Amino acid sequence: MTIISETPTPLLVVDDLAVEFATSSGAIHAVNGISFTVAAGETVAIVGESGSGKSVSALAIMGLIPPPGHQTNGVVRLASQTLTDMPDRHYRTLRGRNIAMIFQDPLSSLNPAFRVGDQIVEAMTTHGTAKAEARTRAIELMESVGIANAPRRARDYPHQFSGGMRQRVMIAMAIANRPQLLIADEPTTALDVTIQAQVLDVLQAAKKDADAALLLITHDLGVVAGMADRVLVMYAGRIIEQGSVDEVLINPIHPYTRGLLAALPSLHTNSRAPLPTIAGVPPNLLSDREACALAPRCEFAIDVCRSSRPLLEAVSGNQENHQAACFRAHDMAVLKVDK
Amino acid sequence: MTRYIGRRILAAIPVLLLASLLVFVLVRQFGADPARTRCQQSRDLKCLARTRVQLGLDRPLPVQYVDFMGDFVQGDWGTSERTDQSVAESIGIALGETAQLAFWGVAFSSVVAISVGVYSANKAYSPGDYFFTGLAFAGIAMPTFWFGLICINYLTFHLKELLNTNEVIFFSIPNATGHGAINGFRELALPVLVLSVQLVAGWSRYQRSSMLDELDSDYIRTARSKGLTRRRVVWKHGLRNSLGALVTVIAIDAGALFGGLIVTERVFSRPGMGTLFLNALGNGDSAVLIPWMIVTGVFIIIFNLFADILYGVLDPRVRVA
Amino acid sequence: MSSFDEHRQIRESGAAIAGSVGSTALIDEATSELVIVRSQWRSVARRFFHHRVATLALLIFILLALAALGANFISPYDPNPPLTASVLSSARESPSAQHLFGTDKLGRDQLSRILVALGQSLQVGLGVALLSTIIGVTVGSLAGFYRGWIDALLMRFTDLFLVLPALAVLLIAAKNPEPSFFGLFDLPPATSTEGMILLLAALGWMPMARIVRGEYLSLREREFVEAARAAGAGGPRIILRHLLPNSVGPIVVFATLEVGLAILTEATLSFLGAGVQIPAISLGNLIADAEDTVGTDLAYLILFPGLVLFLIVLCANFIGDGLRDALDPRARK
Ligand SMILES: Nc1ncnc2c1ncn2[C@@H]1O[C@H](COP(=O)(O)OP(=O)(O)OP(=O)(O)O)[C@@H](O)[C@H]1O
Ligand code: SF4
Ligand SMILES: [Mg+2]
Repeated sequence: MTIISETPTPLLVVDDLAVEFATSSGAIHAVNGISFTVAAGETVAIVGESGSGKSVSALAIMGLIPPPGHQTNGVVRLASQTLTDMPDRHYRTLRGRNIAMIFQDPLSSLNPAFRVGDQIVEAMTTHGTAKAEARTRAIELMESVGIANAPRRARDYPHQFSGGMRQRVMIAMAIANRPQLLIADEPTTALDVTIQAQVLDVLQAAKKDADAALLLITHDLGVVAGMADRVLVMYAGRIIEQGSVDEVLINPIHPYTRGLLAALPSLHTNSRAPLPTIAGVPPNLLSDREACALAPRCEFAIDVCRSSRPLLEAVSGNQENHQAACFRAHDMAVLKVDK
Repeated sequence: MTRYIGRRILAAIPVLLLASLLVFVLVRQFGADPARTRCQQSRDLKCLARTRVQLGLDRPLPVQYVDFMGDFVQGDWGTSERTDQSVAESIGIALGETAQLAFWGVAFSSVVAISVGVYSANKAYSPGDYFFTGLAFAGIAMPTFWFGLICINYLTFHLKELLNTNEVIFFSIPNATGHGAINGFRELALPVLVLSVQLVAGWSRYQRSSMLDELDSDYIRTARSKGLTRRRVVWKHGLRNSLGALVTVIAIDAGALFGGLIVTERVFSRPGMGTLFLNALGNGDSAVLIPWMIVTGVFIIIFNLFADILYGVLDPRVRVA
Repeated sequence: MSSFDEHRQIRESGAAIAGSVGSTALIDEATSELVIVRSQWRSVARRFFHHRVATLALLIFILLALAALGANFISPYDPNPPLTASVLSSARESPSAQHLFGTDKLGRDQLSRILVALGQSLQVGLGVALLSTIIGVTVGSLAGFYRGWIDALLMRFTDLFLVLPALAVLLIAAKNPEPSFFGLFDLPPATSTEGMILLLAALGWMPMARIVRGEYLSLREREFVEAARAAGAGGPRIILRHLLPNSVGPIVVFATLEVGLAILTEATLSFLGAGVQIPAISLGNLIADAEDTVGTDLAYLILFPGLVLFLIVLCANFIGDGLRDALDPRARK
């Protein structure tokens, strides 16, 4: 696999990552060999329909794949360290310090029994910060993510916060140790539409503040357009199109990406509609047939699509900035987006 | 919170009244006849009829009940039909004895059950987990009275022979002559062990399942993502949240111990509520049996209430609401 | 304590079972329904035998039951022989080839006595489970389906018993030498096996009623019950054809656990002198009778009956666990 990189030494390298869940009905191939990089300070978005393997990929980077899942192939590297197969005793010192993660549902992701201030403090003390220092910094962090009355609010419990405020707490917790990489898994999906934009602004500011790279998983193509430098489109555990946001969103090649965009009213309106759904049944992750996973749902499918699997290839001379995995990429390039 | 507790206490009163009625009927209808108990020694053929009138037993049951309850709530609990001892006093003394045994039993069982439960949840489906599952099954199937006798057989008598000493290490009966913590330990070790078997078996399974639920939740993943060790995540974050459910169960079961140590006290010849009950039952002493049942019912209700309050205290979401 | 957990699990598995069997109840062709039900029971059996401990427990349980049933043929001695000089002369013999479990203080063969006691225990356990299941399912069905006053009464009544120490209530009731059914007709006293069964079932059917009630309440709202009701089926028909078949899982599991519980309770009552009385034999009074041998060479008189008691209850509980797994495929991966 070729690794595409914009800078000579990318911060995060994911090479041919595969994750399976062993279930009684067979192995679920949740992630099927994905490769990508994230440069320092860069924002990379991952989009794809539900079940395409976005969260599992993120958890694999954190080294927190839930049982019965396990990484079956590939390597994850952060800066110069190989994370894959790293003993947990060592891995855990990187979690929360070098890579931090923000989850979808801030209510269930915060421990209901502890004060939010203590939960932020814990993120720092566990990596050796003195308690008193961590306390002061926790208040600062809460202020920096826009929580008014921080010293008092730090003593409150998660249930006493609104959804947006909880996610701000999560963001404060994630940047507490100024990580190099921030992973945000659909950070606004569980929130009220009216406050999603605010929270994203906070996230953006926090990322700048911590000088971190951001891997942003989202359903919202508007968010991709507004925040990301590059975008990865996932389908059935594979990346089927990737490139710079401008290229992919304005000039989509893959029929799946096109479907996503076609269903969107307009990219430049302020609408934050959830990811549109594509007609047809989602792919069966149990079988790992040699075929394009989209073939049963693809209006452009030809025979070869059902007998072999397309690889990610550069789209007409645009090696660095745009790749797609479709046998008909060339045909698609000349076919105008149907708008 | 105060209002909530007040409401719960008010709600408990009718339950308690009905339970006392049930007890009254149960003891009077099914238990021995108090008049017959008094007249056992008497040769007088009229004794029975006379005593019946004397004790008011010739009146209809509801009248007797109202009469009894009237005295009871005013603190007049009467005297034993056998010993002429004040019933309130003997129950008070017995409660103290039983409370001591129950306290150590609950303390010991809680520590063991929580440790085992957390371990089993953390290592679910490992050989260690299966081992403790097996032990819990054994505990639930264990006849308490037999286990007590076996403990006495081996830990009191055989251990003495094994160590080749003249002195018993663990007493099988209260040691009236000894004092101090060491003596207390030697005296309470076996009864506490015996009464703990069922408690530990039940509680550890309960703790295992509520801990498994917690370990599955999102905040555990968050804690791990912050870089906490697995052990710390389990013992701090998971335990703190799973404890609420278990503490409730512990409180409820603890309340039941005041009337539930009949077998343990009997096997280890300990004074207490169980022994008081068995003596009263053997003597057909309904003057003791009825207040005894009501008092144990009160303890069960109080501890249920206590469990509710504890649950609220432990869960900040309930506490504030 | 233990029953708390047990009930919770039963409740959970109950919902799952309803999910797996429910859809078949929609099929109204009697034949196809039968075929499906039969194949389901076959897979239940298969899953049960996958649970190795439960299978072993079932095997031991059956062996013990056969031994108790054939006690007359197996045991070489009379369990309650006339105390002749020759019997008395073999008193206090330690376990040997002649007397596998030794002899008691009066020279009676302990193994023969244990076999008789075991039979008594099994009778009580199975009898109580059967009787309390019948009562519990009936009351629970009426309460769960018709709600109303039966339901209210059941709930208040069980709440009431929850605040009373169970063993104490049983002891008081067991001590009654002339029990009767509300004064209407006489009942056998708890010193007899039938009396003991009646007593334990009379005071032990309530958890089953609550379980059945809970099942029905959750089943009531489901499509196939609605469909049956829409098709004009009456109460008894809905209960017998739809609700009851779909609640079989939790009922069977709980009834199995009742067997163990009843055996333990009876032994405890008899140990405390409130149940089976000498010369009739029960595991409880065998142990009570030998209590004074604690710490002596005769302690095997306590050891063996207790071991048998423990083993039979353990087996019953493991069978219940196996049934729970078998009836709720989702519980295990
Ligand atoms: N704990 C698990 N057990 C079994 N399979 C799992 C588990 N977690 C995820 N999977 C499988 O992995 C696949 C990918 O899941 P993932 O959570 O990564 O999807 P996603 O792209 O994040 O979807 P969403 O947009 O809904 O969050 C799922 O389709 C599911 O089949
Ligand atoms: S490879 Fe074939 S099936 Fe797959 S997206 Fe392209 S055209 Fe459609
Ligand atoms: Mg996801």
